[in-house]
Amino acid sequence: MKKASWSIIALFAISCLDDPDCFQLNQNIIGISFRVLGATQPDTLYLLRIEIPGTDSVFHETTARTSVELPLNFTTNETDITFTHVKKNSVATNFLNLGYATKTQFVSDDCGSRYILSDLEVLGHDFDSIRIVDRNADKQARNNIEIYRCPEPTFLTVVFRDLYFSAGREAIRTGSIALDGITATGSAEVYYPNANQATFYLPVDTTSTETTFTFTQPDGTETTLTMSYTSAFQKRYSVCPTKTYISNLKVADSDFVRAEMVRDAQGVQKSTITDPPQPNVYVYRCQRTNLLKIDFRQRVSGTSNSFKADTVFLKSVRANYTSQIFYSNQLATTVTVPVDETQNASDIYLEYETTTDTLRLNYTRSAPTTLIDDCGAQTLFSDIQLTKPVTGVAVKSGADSLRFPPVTNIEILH
Amino acid sequence: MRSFISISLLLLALSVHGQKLKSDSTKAIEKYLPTGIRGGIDALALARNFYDESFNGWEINGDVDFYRYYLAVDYGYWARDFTDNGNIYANDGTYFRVGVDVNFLTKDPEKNMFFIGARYGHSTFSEDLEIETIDPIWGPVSSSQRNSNVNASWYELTTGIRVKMWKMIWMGYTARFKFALNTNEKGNLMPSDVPGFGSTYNPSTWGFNYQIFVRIPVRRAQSIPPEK
Repeated sequence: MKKASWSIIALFAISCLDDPDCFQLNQNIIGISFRVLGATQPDTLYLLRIEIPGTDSVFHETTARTSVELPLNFTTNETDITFTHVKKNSVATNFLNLGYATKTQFVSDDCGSRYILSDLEVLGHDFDSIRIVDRNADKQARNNIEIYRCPEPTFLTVVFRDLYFSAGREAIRTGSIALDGITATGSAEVYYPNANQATFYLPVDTTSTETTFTFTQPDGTETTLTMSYTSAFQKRYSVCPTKTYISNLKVADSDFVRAEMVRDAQGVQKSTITDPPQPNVYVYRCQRTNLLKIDFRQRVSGTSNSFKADTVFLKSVRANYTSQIFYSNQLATTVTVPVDETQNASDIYLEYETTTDTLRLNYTRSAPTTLIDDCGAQTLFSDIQLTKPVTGVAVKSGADSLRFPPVTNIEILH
Repeated sequence: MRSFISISLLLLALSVHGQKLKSDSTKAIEKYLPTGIRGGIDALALARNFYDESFNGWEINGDVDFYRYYLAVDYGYWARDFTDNGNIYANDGTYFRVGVDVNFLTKDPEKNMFFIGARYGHSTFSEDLEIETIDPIWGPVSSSQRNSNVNASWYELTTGIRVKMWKMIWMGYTARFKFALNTNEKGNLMPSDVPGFGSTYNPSTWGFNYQIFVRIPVRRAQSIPPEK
């Protein structure tokens, strides 16, 4: 009998668990994903905002998204959605008009009623193409609608990589490069002015079978990459105009220490330009052996002997042997500055908001040594010393040699 | 003469065996004949009218035994009325359940029961929903919807006990696991509360009855053989 009593209590407890949770009852959320016709990868839409009549709310402001979730208006049987986004460096607007069936259900006196939307259909749109994947809205976004755009497959993807010496052999890593800009034959435009990144999307000349790209670095050094290819003017999709499709890409010529086509997992070269773009070419740079890394630190609290990263405002970071400004008007927790390869000493100037730290450094240069065949003989730097003490500045113990990738050599405590 | 005696003895033997078979078969049939009809009410449903302002209803229950198997029938009326948060919801309708319980206390001389069973449930009901509220995203929401003569059906797994309290008075409880609800509404209003089933928010739900019965015996039960 005791067991029976406990069963009754347990049943009442379970009944209480049946009470609905009032949070997010409505099933009116849909998911919209962006795609390119003929591609398997998602497309990225650079959204400025999404607006829906009937509400003052603005959705997904200034964000790059491959998919969005949106609520549909359950007080009517259709919703107009306006997408404002950036397309080819200008603002574009597209609309999507969706129809659906709205069902109402009273949930409880605490929660009120909920709305369930189903039978989604596209009543109108001005995108290139649209496909409904799932006709039922839900409490959280599912992939209900796919919006397709026509491909623009004319952008070559170039990825910079660093060659460096590690554990007794050559190693490779993706590495960003600072550039004043990139020019391409067949175009007067300067692409990526004052950029510092590893991946670049560059337009090929569709009127030619070859395009030469010139990469100009801040110190004026110019390096070129010439790509050859075949182009075909085709209408591949009924909803899209005739387009130029680039294939048979090859590295025709290059000043880089190494340049090669990217291969997929099966070893096949990525010799076709795709949209969304995928890496086509790897260009390699040799390790820079003269990079000095400086970290800014602060005490965790008061006079504590524990330290943490400090963010400082740098008006400029310069060196005595060049007119180049390495950093300008930016916040930083760490900076990497090259020392003079031709001398055994360099002065580094760290200009803050109101003060300047001048680091007078001495170091030892090795005889040129070949570590990586493609890079030839390179000088190594060691025994970094501060010739003039600066308050709060110290060479980090055991890190007085310059390495690549750079490791912290100097710590500045503010 | 010897042959005549042999045939007579054989016929006599067959006759005795036949009478024994007939007696066994009659006993087997008699075992399944009902011994009583039990009728009662759900006390919880009645009590709920007093403690739950939104509820109005009653339920009657009955069963009849066929050895350890019981044909069980329930019939009830159920109406609900909610007014809150800009929503006015009301429904009312009748329902019945029919099914079989299997008693696991077959040796109990009082015929007390611990049972497990199954039911088919059916309800016919109407409901109204009026909404006057303000949604934080879409602003004012106003609607009035009605479902008339909606049919609903479902299934239940049941368990419970029936205990003889005094002479013809029995008490017991039934716990129900209700599932596989199917409704045939036509409009855009989805049923919220089905009489006999309860809230439709979840696909399955629980129910509980505390019942008081009167059992009318119709036949004396077979005596239970002593344990060996």
